[in-house]
Amino acid sequence: MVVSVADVDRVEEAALIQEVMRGSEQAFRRMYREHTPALFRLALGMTGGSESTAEDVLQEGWWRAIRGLGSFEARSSLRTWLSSIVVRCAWERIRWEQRDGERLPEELPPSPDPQDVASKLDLERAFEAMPPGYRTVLMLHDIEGYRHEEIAGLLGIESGTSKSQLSRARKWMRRALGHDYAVE
Amino acid sequence: MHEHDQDQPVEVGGLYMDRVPRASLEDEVVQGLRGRGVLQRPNTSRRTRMLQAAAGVVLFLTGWGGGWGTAQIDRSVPVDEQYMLLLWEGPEFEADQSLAEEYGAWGRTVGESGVAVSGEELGSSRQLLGPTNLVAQGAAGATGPPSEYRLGGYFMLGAGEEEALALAENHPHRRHGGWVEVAAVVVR
Repeated sequence: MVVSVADVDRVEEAALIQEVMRGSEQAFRRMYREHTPALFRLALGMTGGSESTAEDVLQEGWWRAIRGLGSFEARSSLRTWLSSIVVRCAWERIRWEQRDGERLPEELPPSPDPQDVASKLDLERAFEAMPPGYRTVLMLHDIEGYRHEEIAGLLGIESGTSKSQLSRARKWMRRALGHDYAVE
Repeated sequence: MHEHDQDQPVEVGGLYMDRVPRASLEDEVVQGLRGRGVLQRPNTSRRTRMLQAAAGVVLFLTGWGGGWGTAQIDRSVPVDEQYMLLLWEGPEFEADQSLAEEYGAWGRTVGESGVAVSGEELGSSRQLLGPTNLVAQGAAGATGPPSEYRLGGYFMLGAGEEEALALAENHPHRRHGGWVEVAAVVVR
């Protein structure tokens, strides 16, 4: 029988989870240090680059994760499971901040002045200037590698909406970065 | 750019790669989880923790306890506005479900009136640990405190019976001539 590195990792991960479920702070700190940098970038991207908001999301995400660790069934990796929790927390935060009823934007925003964009906006600023719905779908699909069906499930939207938002988000980014002056 | 290129991914792979969370965030997350009772400090019994809002708190009714570990006591409330109701009962008393509901309803009514209130039912099985100098007190064989003794304070422990008893054994109150009664909190 061949035991792969992935198998060993999975066993170690399962042991770590058991320790955390028993309340071990040391085990939790190991888990935290392994996963938090990536989860932080995910939260940061979804919430538009605000570190304080991303930290709030992480605090809530870790609480939900530890509370629900007993329900983790290892059908996905722990990182994937944790990411899904952070995505939901961040999405709730976004929706809460838009509690006046704003939904995922349906229309492309006005095209900024390409010359102005090209000179002033870098990648992060362009990303952060996007409507939250665009940003979220772009982050999850193009950076985190989620499929549209998975995004739909996480955000509670139709997969068709995810596809259309992604298309619009890409157009937005190309415009903002000055790579696409001619579209529309 | 051609229209068919529009659905190609935008090159954003390096986004936020240089951004890392504050180092102190780890401690804040850990403290938050400790406060919610899901993590314990290293090298402490995993079950020895205060329950409810009394984490780390000693509250002496007589006012001795001015500030020992006052983590969760609301000090914005004047001391003379924090009181405890201690319920004594005779041997015929029976704490059944309807009584629990009646007492719970009383608590909710009080809470709704704006008075901070919490309470628990204690199990009927009690164990009394006498002072370590019982013999010197001339009270060898006593099974409980003299009638003139009164309740002076309490600790809440997040511990099972065995551990609670062990902790009570070593409570300093016993070295100061006091009795310690160990009773389980009933969860219905």
